[in-house]
Amino acid sequence: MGITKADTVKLISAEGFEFVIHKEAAMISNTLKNMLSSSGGFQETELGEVRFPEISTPILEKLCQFFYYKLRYTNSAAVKNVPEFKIEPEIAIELLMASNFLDC
Amino acid sequence: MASMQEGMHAGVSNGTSVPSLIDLCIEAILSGGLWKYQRRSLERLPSPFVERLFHRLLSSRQLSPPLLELFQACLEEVDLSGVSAVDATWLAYVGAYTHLRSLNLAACKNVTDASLWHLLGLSSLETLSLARCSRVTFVGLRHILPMTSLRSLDISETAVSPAGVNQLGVRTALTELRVGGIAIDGTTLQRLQPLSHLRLLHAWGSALTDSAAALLPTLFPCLESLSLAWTDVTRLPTLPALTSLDMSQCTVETLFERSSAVPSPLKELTLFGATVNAAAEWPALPHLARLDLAGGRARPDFFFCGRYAASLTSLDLSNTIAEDGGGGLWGLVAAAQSGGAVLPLRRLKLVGGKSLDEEELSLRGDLLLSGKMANLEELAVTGWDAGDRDWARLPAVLPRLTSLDLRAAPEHDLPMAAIGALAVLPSLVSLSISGVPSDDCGTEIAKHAQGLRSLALRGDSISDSALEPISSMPRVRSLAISGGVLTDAGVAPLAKMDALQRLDLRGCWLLTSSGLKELRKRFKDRRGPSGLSVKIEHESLPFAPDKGDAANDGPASKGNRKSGGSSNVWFGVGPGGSRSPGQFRKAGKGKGEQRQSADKGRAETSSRRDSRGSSVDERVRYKRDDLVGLQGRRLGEGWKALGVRTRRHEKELALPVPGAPFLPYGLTALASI
Repeated sequence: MGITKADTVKLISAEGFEFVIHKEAAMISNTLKNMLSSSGGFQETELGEVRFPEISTPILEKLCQFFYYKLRYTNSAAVKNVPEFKIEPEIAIELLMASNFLDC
Repeated sequence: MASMQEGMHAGVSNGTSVPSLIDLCIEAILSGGLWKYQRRSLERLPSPFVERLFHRLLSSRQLSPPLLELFQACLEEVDLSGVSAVDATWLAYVGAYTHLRSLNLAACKNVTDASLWHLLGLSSLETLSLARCSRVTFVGLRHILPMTSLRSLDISETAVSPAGVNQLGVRTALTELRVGGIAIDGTTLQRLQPLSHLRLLHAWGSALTDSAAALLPTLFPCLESLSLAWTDVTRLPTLPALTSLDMSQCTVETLFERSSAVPSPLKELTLFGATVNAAAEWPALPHLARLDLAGGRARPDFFFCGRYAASLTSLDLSNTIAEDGGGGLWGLVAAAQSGGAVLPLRRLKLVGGKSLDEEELSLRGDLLLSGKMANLEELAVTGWDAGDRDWARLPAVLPRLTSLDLRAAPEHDLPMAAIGALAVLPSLVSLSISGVPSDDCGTEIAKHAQGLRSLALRGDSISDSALEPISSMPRVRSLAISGGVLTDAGVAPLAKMDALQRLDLRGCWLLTSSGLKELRKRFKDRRGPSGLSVKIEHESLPFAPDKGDAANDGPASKGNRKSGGSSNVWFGVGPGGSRSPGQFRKAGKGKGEQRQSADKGRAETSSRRDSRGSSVDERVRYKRDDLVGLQGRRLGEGWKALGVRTRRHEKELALPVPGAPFLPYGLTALASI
């Protein structure tokens, strides 16, 4: 089962770093979900990439980690112990603003 | 794809759940302590988040005056209610919050007249609450009078005198005024005439009489909400816009005059503990949706509930004494049996009744089984026994019931047939049974009522064997068992309940603290470090408000716990019986007493403590003579004589003389020595 381009989405940070993640993971964010699944003809839907000129690379990386963390542990009957999602206090406020924007 | 995702999110309750990143971030910010140095980042945050942060820090006691400055530019609503640390220094910082719209200082006992002076700069403040700030007098009120932006003011249970309330006439833009517990009378009302836009007036416990009430329509024609509880008012004239009226503990002779052509828009009527004399004379109230007559007394011809049957959605007749018998249900039963449409009633409370007579009990049955109660969602009823055949009809006649509180008559247990019938009610979410017949009911409930979120059982015969089936109920978030003979080993299976957040085992006298600690550990082991926490309550455990609760209720929960986070899941279980009327009564008593003490003079020392040990009323802690006696004494000794710590007393002395120039509290204290 290989990964095709249609399954992924590219998130681009303020500095231009690109994160390629599964669409399924990106859908954790309600904002991204609306962007990617709407038929309103968002440019993002067609290109499969979203630019975040306001979100710096470390923050976007953390966001991507959280998408996969939540995807893995939400409603998983097999996992009994959910590990802690570690957030460094230094980036917490910035991450809060980004997560508010992305609604996740 | 999207719909599949939504489906997944909707069903969170079943498996493990992950908190949102926003919550995680807020936790991380709080735990790090770095926020103290990230002022600019804080200022960029949207204000709801800053408010959440602020109140979390407040409830964990991490905020102190110098740090308050960090939030200067970003807060719009601040709730400091019940925080005893709040004093002049705090308010000096809060006074610089430029965008503040709402400030709640309720029950901040260290807020004094002088400290209110700092709030003058809040040019956009619309809502201010000083309720129960026992050291605020008319001098303090004068400090806040120049605030032209003020729309809503609460000075209930402060030491402001009726003459002080007169001053409020200049704040013509006020739309909400709460002056409960202050003995204002008709003269004061006339002085308040300029407040013609007033929509809400709460003057419970005042000295208003019928003649004063007669002035209301001309003085405040826009009045929508009015509270005259604990007053001598017996006749209320027609108020054309009134939608909510509270005349608890009054004797009601007439309510609105009949002559009015336009029907009254009244929606809520609270007559808790009131005596209703001639309800038949009342006008038509076509919009009346909520009627609370709990603990009240009604003179004959109490069919009147039936007159409002077409609009009532919530009715509380707990402990109501109707002199015609029947607990006031005659009218409703008549309406239900007369044919016609299904009653709109959604919430019904028929709790208690010391002398439950046969007639009243059978009326309850007639009403509930009439088939016209299909809209009922919440029901609390005592002593009702439908008989085996009728219990089985229950799911058909009450299909929408989500919350049920069923209590056996004193010294009785419920029949097993009842338990079986209740368990199959289709949409039941919250079930509370008092007078559980035997352990088998656990099996019965667990077998049928799989959708339950909240379960409360009370009865002497509950033992360990009832818990095993209950522990297999997947969705239960709140479980309360009271009066049973449970053992430490018996409660162990409860750790299997993954959704459980609240476990109340008060009244289970065999349990030990070590056994409960073991149980708590089991929960932790099973759920992991970031899983849901469960709050266990028992007499052997020290009382500790858990973090989650404090965050939800805000700091208000410490002083004035009106409805905790759990009130929506189960109502009225435990030794106190029905929750809301009980609390109301307690509050009411306080009002009455304060009225009396106000009459006797304010210099009296009155300090009471309620059952939880928190201080309730500290109107004036020290007598005037004590303070005068301090003059000329050396700093330490005088205060030691009063048995107080030095810093605290410095603030006590800060009461400025009216008209004297204001000095910061330290200087005032020094100047007076």
